[in-house]
Amino acid sequence: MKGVDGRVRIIAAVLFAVVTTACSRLDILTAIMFSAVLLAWFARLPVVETIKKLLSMDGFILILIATLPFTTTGTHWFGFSGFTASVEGGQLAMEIFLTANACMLSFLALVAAMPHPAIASGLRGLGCSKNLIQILLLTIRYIETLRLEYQRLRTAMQARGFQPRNNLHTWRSYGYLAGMLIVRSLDRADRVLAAMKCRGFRGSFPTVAEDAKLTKADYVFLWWFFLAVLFVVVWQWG
Amino acid sequence: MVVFLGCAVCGGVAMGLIKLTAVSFSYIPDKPVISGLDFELCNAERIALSGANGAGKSTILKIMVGLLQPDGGVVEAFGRVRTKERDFYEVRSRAGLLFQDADDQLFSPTVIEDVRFGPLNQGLSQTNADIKAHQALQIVGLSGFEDRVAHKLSGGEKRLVALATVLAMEPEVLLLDEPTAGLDNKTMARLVGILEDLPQAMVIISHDQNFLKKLVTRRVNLVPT
Ligand SMILES: Nc1ncnc2c1ncn2[C@@H]1O[C@H](COP(=O)(O)OP(=O)(O)OP(=O)(O)O)[C@@H](O)[C@H]1O
Ligand SMILES: [Mg+2]
Repeated sequence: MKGVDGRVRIIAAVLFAVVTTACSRLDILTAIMFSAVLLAWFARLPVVETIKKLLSMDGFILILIATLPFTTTGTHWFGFSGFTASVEGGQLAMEIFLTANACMLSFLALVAAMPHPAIASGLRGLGCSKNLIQILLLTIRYIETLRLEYQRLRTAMQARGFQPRNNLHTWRSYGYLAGMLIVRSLDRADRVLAAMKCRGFRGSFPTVAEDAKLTKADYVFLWWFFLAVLFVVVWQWG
Repeated sequence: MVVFLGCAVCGGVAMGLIKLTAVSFSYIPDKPVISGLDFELCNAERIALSGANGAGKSTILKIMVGLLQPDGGVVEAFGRVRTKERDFYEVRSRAGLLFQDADDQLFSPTVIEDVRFGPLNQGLSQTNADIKAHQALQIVGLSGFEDRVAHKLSGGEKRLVALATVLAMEPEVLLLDEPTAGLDNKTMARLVGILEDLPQAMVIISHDQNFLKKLVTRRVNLVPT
């Protein structure tokens, strides 16, 4: 999996997501989920971290999944204290759960596991706009810096005895914190641009990877992938 | 702030690598940070640029490489007058600026990517850029740091990596803005060794007199008017 070209992996991830979201049968979705786990296995994703990531996404859809059985009308499934859950609602919830997790897992395995420059050159190889890629790369780099900056400001506040309460002082301080974060980010952006100019930056990143030809491993991967997709398509709609 | 001084080495003859003539600059209109500044850096010179906090030292270095445009005066570098942004492309490649804050200078995820960014911009191939990057890291004694995450290094390590990013471009002139900030005695001694061995002409800003004593050939002091 490591040797597979960035372009191939990105295409595969997109195809995976399209097919998965179009599928509605639970048995097929379960199979797809399994193949996503398989992909994750091939990509050697760290188990605990990956599960944590999936769970943090599941947190977002938890409410949806928990309420869907009760808000969808249909055949009686179970009920308590006046609420009744429907089988259809349960199925719908399961479908959403499987789709979301399979898409996320396959994306982590196919795309996110690549080193950032590889993602960039993959996108470039697929004809993605240079500016967008730059924004992506810089975002990846600077989200962490932003978080650190935020933490530094927070510790600075805490070091002087700041405790969040529900009063004007607290909200004003949070306002300063947010404002300061924005001002500092803008400032830093200016200085980083200056630093980049000093090293010969003239508006676009040097292409890191030469446009490599697809290797045999890439084709083998692609063929397997297409076969799997075809299989799913026939199963669902055939 | 005003000053200054022809060149003791070449006596003002046209050997200057970088030359500022009657340069003035202000961030806020009518509040000049520097005015009427004359300055010249000649071959093989190591100049200490000193002055109080806020005297405008960092500002001068930025003017030299065109990051700030002076309100008046002439900036000459490598034998040509430089005015427009385009003129400075070449200057930035030949005069490497080490920023006062290393965090501003390092922007790539990993050390190696950051160090080879300059060489790649100079048009080198991937392989050659890598070679340059490794050499530069070796000079500053950070071989083996290639795949470290840049923003998770210690303050002193960041300084050295920042220096490596500058050296990797093989500039003819080094403009160093407080290179010793945050370095321990041992690392500082090593830095002195590194800089002594380098052939480049330098402008060094530092408040550390010991450090300067070991390196510089001439001192320039910014005095307020
Ligand atoms: N971006 C800016 N906007 C407005 N004023 C600025 C800006 N940068 C610097 N200044 C002001 O210009 C003056 C000179 O700043 P500069 O950074 O050149 O000083 P310095 O000599 O390098 O000081 P230090 O020894 O503290 O690094 C200072 O008074 C500073 O407040
Ligand atoms: Mg300064």
